[in-house]
Amino acid sequence: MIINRLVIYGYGKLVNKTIELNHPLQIIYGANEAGKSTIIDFIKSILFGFQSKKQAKHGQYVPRNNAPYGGEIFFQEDGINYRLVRTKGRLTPGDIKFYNADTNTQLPNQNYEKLISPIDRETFDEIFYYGDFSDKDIFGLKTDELRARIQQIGVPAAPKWLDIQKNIDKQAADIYKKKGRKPVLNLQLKSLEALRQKVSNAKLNYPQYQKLNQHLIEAKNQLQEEEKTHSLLQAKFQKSQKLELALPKIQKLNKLSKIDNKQVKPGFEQSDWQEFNRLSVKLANFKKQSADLKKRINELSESQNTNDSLNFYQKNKTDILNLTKQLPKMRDVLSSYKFYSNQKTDVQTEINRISNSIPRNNSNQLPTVLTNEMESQITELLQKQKQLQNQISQISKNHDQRSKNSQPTGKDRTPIILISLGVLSFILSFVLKASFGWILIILGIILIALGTFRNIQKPISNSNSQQKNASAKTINLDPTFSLEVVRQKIDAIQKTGKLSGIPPENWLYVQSQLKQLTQKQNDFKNAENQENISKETLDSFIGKWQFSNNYLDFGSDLTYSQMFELISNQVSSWKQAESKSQMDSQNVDEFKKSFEDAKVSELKALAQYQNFLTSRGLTNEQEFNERFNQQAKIKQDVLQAKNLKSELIDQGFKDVANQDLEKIKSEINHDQTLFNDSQNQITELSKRVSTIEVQIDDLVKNGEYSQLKQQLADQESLILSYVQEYAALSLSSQWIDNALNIASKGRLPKILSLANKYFQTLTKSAYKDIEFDERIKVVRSDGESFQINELSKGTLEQLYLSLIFSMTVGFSSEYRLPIIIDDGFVNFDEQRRAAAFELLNKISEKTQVIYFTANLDRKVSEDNLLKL
Amino acid sequence: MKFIHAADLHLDSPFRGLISGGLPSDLEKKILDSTFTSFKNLVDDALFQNVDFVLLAGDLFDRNDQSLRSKIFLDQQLERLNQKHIPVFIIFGNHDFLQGGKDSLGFPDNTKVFGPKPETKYLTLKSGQRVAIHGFSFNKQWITKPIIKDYPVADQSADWNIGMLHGSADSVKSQDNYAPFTLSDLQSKNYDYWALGHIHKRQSLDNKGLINYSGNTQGRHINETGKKGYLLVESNGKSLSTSFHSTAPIIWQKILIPVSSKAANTLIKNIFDFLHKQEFKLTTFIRIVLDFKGPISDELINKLNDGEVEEVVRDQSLKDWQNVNFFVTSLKFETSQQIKFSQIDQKYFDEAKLQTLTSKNLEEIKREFMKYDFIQDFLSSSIDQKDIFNLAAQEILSDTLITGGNKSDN
Repeated sequence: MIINRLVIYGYGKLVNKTIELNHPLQIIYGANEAGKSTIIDFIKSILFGFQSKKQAKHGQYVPRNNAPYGGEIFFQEDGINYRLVRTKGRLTPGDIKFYNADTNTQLPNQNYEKLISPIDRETFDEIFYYGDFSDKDIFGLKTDELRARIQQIGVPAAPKWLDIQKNIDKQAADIYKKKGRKPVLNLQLKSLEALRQKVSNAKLNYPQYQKLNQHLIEAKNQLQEEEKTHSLLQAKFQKSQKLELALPKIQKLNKLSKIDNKQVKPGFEQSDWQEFNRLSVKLANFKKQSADLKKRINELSESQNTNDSLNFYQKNKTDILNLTKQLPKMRDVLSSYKFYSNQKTDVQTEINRISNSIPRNNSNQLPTVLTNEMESQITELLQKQKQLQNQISQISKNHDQRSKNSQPTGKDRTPIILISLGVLSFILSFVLKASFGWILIILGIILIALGTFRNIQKPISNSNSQQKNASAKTINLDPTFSLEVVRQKIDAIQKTGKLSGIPPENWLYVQSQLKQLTQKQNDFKNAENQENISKETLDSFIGKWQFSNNYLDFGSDLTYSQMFELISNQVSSWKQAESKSQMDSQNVDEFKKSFEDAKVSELKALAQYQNFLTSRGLTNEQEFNERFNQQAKIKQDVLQAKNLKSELIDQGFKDVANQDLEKIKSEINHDQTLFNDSQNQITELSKRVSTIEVQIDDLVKNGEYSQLKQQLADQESLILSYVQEYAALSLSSQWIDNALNIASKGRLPKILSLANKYFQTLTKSAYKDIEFDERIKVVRSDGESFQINELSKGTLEQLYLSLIFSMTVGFSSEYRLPIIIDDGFVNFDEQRRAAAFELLNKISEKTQVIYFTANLDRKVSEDNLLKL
Repeated sequence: MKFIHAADLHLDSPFRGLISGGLPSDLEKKILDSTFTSFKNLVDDALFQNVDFVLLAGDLFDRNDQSLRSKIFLDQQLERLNQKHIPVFIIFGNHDFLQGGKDSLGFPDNTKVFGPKPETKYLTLKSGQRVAIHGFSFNKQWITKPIIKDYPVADQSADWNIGMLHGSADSVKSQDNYAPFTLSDLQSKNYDYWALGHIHKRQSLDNKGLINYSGNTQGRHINETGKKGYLLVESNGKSLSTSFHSTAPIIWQKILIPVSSKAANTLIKNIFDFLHKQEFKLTTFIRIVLDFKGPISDELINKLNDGEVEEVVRDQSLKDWQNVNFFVTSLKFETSQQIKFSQIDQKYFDEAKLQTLTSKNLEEIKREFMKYDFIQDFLSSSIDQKDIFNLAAQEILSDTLITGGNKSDN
């Protein structure tokens, strides 16, 4: 685009102003406040749209005096002349009208939009507008930064993208840095190493298993070997043990071998000993026998002579036996005696009883028995007395009786009730059949009895009263007199019978008792008599035994029975003694005979006994025993030796006699030691085998390895997820980079070559090249390169200009908009400014340059200049 | 004839991609036991089915890394088969390559190991049929030579010929360091069946299903999804048929969940509702991929990018894993949301994207972590690179949201 003309309707100070731009490098000169900034802003506003109050940092340039806001720009693009009109509209950017300036036909607004895009005000400011240079400090930039700055220019939203890229790079760096220690992935990789180490340690399991297996096999082999050895040793040891057991036998055998069979003498066999024994015993027996017999004979003889008692008995035998015959009869007498004694006692008791039952009279004496006649009178007299007494009282009571005669004697029902109750109770006892039935029976009986009794009494009382009435009718004598007569008769009886103080009613009773008493007394006397007779008999009998009171000590306290007993016993013992004595005599004879025999046998036995001894050259038993024991021992030894020998041969020990016992003993010990050692070895090896087996078992069961492997796999997965993220972030960063690069379309090289060219121009070939490595360097014509900080300020400025212009020009090949410079070289010195203008000239060959300045340079030609 | 073809047991090798630990100990145990459980299930089946023999085509464990547990376990399981007189034929692969003699392995009598040079082992079945099995074991980690060329052609005197090979087919994308072969190499031998190992994804190389990779017996990371187990091969007259049987106790699975919510907590609820409806039979380790229909709120994007949503979902799924049989190990999202720039910027970014998101550009980063093989592998894997590129775009997007530099179209 080449701007030809500006038509300002109203913008800031400028109203209704037209400005023609004729030269590719158009220098617009105006003093300060002349409106340079206004025109610059006008151009931007018309091209890109009006700004809102907020957007317009330098103000909206609203014209004064209500002049119409906006204006026109005439420009040429690709050979066609256009006219763009922008005025204030409803929206902030304003309304545009787009015309083909040649034909003056209106063109659709889109055409303009298409034409101007993608450049907007912002982009334009970035790329095509130059304010004060001095604050554009690009010298310190590294190539990357320069590139970035270029990229920034190339993409309008580039800053945002660079921010995003920075964010992404930061995220990436948080995950991983080349030699970092803190980022996550670095840490995870480190733990991976540790985990791998753990796994490989655990892995050693397998070779360890193989090693252990090997050890196990070895140990088992060793064990087997040892067991073989052991059984051999065991056999040997058992043999030694046997030998050890046999040792005493061997020793004994050795000792016994000294004893000779020749020492055995005949006649000392067991049978001989038994014989001797027998003979001794026989002899002893016979000796004893004869001695015993002799003793017995002597004893018996002795006893016979010294029995005084027996002698006495024998002297008085006849008498004694006669008396003894009487004994049974005496026993009978004794019985009688006892009987009568008892009887006496009983009768006495009766007498006492009866006597006690008789009341005593006033003198405390027993009454006497009356005659029968008197006795019978008593009753009669007493009755009469009573009668008379009643009569007397009755007369006095007659009055009373008559008044009371009307009273009916009520029927007395009580007996009936009682009887019926009794019957009832009787019946109940049977019906209930209870355990207390007998109570009911008894109760029944009682009740019935009571009832009956009551009933009977009625008639008696009735008859009594009848009798009284009868008597009252018949005897009408003077009762008082009769009574006195009776009384006198009674008194007489009383006197006779010594009955004073005893009520007459009792007299009959007393009489009967007295009679009994008399009877009893008689009985007593009888008994006594009999008793005495018996006693006499007994005493006489006893007396007859007096002659034997040395042997029959009756003492003073003995009863008759006891005495009889004594007699009986003594007599039987006498009899016994007698018979014994007789027997003894018989025995003595027999004994004497036996004694003779015994003596003969004894002598015989003695002879045999002695013969036995002498035939063996011995004198006594002791010698025989000694000799016999000797012989026995010898024989025993010989037998033992024989047995031992055969035993040892059985056990496998031939010719062991006379072997060195010490040697044998030491051999046995040696074998035992070996055996024990072997035993221990086996125990050790067995232990070892089981230990190894346990270890192997542990290894096999150990799940740690699997777990660790899974952990390792998990760790690797985790790392891969970070790697994935890191890779993605790296790629995103690159992506942004590439996008920006593409956007800059490889502008950098182009820009760089332009920069070179411009730098050459500006420095008038003092420098020939700019190097863009790590840092920007310049190469002098002689080939020497200088860092930026080594350059003079002037050169720096030249370099700077080269760079920035190269950038703009680089862009303008695509986006052909004019470059607007607002007094950029104001701080340059004259020389530099001249060079700069020269550069601008060069640039303007490619792109329109509009240069606004407040300072006029003489060197500028009039063609370029426009004065405001 | 009935036999089992399995490979790549990788006993006692850990799961990958579980980033943080902190799993409940019963889940941890299940994980540690998983490779063992799977193989034990295989042996149980072999015994139950009373198969004629078992083929194990390599990578039974990591020889360098072999744990005692895996050795003892393998011995035990082989012994179980030995008790029932079921022979086992083993070739060792690039992980369990055998350097020493095969006599010192301590395997029971029923177990036959192939040596480093291709050899043939014969077996007479109970039915009387004779089987020839051809194979070889790796004696080092990389074998670049095509050993397949040294395999004999089918032995006519045998009723059945079976080949065992641990290696990479040229049709399957893998490096050429593992006894490389082509499909025609295999077919040229005229075997009845090829029991292959090395590739963990179960697949057939031919259309008859007789040249097979049985796949590994337990998936160990999110890229080994689906059921894992063994192939049961049965004869029917003169033809063979193959069926797959699952033995792995833990299944990995990627699940695409369509979501349209904008707020984080409803999103989480929707995720769990969706997952609960699935009714997983086996314990399943899930990567959720959120398929957003429509724009997402800025707040949600941030939460997703921060990993906040992933963490919450993961922790919540962990609480109840035994009842619901799943555990969410990771959560990713795809969004069509673009970064909007001003016109001047848009095309630069689009062009720069093409220029930047290349695997070549990852080279420098790769060099940074040169010491770590696992990182090298990761940065070289195209799937993982793609993830990185997606993540790069998301980083910029989230950062623009933060700085407010995103301009909308209108």
